[in-house]
Amino acid sequence: MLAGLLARVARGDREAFRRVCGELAGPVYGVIRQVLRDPAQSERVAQEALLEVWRTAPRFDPARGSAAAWVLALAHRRAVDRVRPRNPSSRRERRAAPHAGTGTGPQGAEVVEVTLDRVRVLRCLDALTEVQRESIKLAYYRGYSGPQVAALLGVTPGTVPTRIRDGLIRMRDSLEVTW
Amino acid sequence: MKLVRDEWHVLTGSYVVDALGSQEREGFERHLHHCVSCDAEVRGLRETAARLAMARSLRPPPGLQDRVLAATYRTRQLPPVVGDHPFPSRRLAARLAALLHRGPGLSWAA
Repeated sequence: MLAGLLARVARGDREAFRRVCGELAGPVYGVIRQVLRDPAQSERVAQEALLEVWRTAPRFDPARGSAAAWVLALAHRRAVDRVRPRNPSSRRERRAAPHAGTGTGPQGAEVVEVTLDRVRVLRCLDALTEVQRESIKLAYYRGYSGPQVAALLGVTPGTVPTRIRDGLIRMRDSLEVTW
Repeated sequence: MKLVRDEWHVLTGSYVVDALGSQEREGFERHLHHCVSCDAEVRGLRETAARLAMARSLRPPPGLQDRVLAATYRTRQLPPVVGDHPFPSRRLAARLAALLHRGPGLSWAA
């Protein structure tokens, strides 16, 4: 359904785009806010990400994955690019590194109702080994690079990619994600 | 970056959670173009990462969607990708031109 809407968006259909935003603005804003924390900055980046969906919809290929995964990958990449500049000097990287989250989390009213799927996904995450779970959370929800994740967990940098991959594969299999 | 096949393969997860540095990311994307198994794995893991995003869905700030919709009126969309060779291709045009020149009775120069 979303893929069909995106095909219409590609042809400039604003009503279809309004419906895509209605479906995905919540997860787009949510995942960006996870990484950036700052509500005002998150709002700006979410707007940019959704506008990027409008701009690049003609390049969406439904044979290569779901529309939701395409949009959310784009949104996550944009958030991470904000905290991790390209080819940073080490000092710039330190300054721009995402903070580990002492700020207030999302307020209760912002949290969309607890769906069965949310519970299932978080339960799958909990079922992973500690290093797998923490690696995925630090990378995906905090926006840390592989070496940053390794430093925070006190493990060898070379082991982090394997942990992330093994953890995601286990989640994929237990959530029965197909593509 | 020069890595052997297995070294790239272990990066599928890091790629979908955006944990790679920019150089590694570019190298991995080049690898994806000609590695069917990495490409297939990336698709499945990208869908899985999307579930992690959906599990963190928040009510967007009021007005966000209206502002995005307003911005579409001043944002040009990319054209679709239609393959490497525009039609009629330059080579085809050149061949036709050569034929027209050589062919007896087809000369327009009379």
